[in-house]
Amino acid sequence: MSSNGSALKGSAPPDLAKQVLVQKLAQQIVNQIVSDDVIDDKIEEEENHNKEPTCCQMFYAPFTLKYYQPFFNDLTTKVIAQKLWASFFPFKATFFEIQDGKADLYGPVWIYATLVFAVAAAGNISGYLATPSNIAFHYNFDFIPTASSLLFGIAFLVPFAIYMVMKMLGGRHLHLTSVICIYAYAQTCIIPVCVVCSIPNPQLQWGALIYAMINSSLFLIVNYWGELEKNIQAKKHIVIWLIAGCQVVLLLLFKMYFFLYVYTNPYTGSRFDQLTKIVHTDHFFLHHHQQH
Amino acid sequence: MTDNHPFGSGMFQGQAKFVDYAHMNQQEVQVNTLDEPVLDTLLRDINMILYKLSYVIIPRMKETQGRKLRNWDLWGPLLLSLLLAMTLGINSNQSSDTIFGTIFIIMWGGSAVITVNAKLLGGQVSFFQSVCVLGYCVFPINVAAVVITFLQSYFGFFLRLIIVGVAFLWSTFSSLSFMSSMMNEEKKVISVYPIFLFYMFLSWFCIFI
Repeated sequence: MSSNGSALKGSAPPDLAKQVLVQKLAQQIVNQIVSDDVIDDKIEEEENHNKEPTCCQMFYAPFTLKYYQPFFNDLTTKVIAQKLWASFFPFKATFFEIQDGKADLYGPVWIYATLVFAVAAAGNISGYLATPSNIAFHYNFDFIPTASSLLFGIAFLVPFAIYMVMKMLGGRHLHLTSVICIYAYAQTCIIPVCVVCSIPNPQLQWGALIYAMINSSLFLIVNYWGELEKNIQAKKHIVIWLIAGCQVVLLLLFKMYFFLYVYTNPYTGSRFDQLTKIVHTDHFFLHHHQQH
Repeated sequence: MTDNHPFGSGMFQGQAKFVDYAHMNQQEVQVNTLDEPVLDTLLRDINMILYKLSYVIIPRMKETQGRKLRNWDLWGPLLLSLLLAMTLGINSNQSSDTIFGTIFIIMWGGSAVITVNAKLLGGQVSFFQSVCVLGYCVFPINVAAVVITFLQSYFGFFLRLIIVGVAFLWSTFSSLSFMSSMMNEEKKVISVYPIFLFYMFLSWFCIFI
């Protein structure tokens, strides 16, 4: 700086020299600002990587997409197929060996979505087939909101309850997402059961729903057996009753709300009868009917 | 452009960039669409929607041809969803509000969830592009619903089933060519199944109005 000042007093016309000086100064200042900014950003980034997330960041993290990325990593069709297949064989405790027990959130979302569709459709089909032909059938669209509230509600609440109970009784190596995941895969057996339940025969429906209840409860209990044996020991029956109880309640709700109307009346032919062409030739009934 | 300006003599190249607004070329400024007649705007939007619908009606399997669908807009899906919800709501007298609400939510919520699912599984989809494509591909189901509503007395149950089945397959096929090109080979089935479920849900409504 000082050398430039002495040069200014000397030979060159002061305006040009001043202009050059101003331009050089401006250049240096801008360089400084720009590089400072860059360095500051880099330092800030490094600091952020080392710092723990603040309270605010931990609060809004579940609302970002990045938060759920770990649950969808390395998920292939094969893995999902293996998990679905395992849920139909409750006696083998292989669920936590698939992909090292990594929880995924793909299963819960789409299994419950399929279930909503299956239950609403099957409930309406069984109602349609069970009503007599002379009564008009109105498709019940309220099944869909009800089914989705019920299923997406239990998707979170029941695993949460199981998780809390197991944690309180001493369970370790438990994660909430893992419980949500396995609970969802336990409900897969209800999908084919719904298809079967669209036939309005009451014995068939009860039989199928009882199979679904046993299958899903067993699946959960067998897969958690290791955990229960090791860490909970004496009080494991609490967890077992909780799981079985929740499944019983769920399937009772299904029967009482979605599959309520069944074909029980032998006098008037339901649409199911017409489909299967069952003809009532019992003279006693015919005679009894004619008297009225 | 940079010759006359004191800061534009190339000193700052590589370190900082200054945008020279004073000397900006007048032709680079965008044409102002605020002053044009309303009919022009509407016609332009309608043309855009019809152009995109032509892509749905004739499903293109090659990815390069689907490139035009990347200029997403949400007008088409909105019109189609309103039309579908109203058509299906007209017929059933008691629960028309439930139907309208259910269809609207399934369509928009469902598109959003499917897109988020595809993104999380690693596909390079842009959110609104995907919502746009899924919305436009509801068009065949819309057509089936309108046909069934207005010609109800002529159709028995099985004919309805066939019409809705064709519409469902058409919709799924249309959106498949766009969505499946985004995903890995090993994740194709799990990213396509939600789309299948989505259109099945909407078609199911059409059979039973």
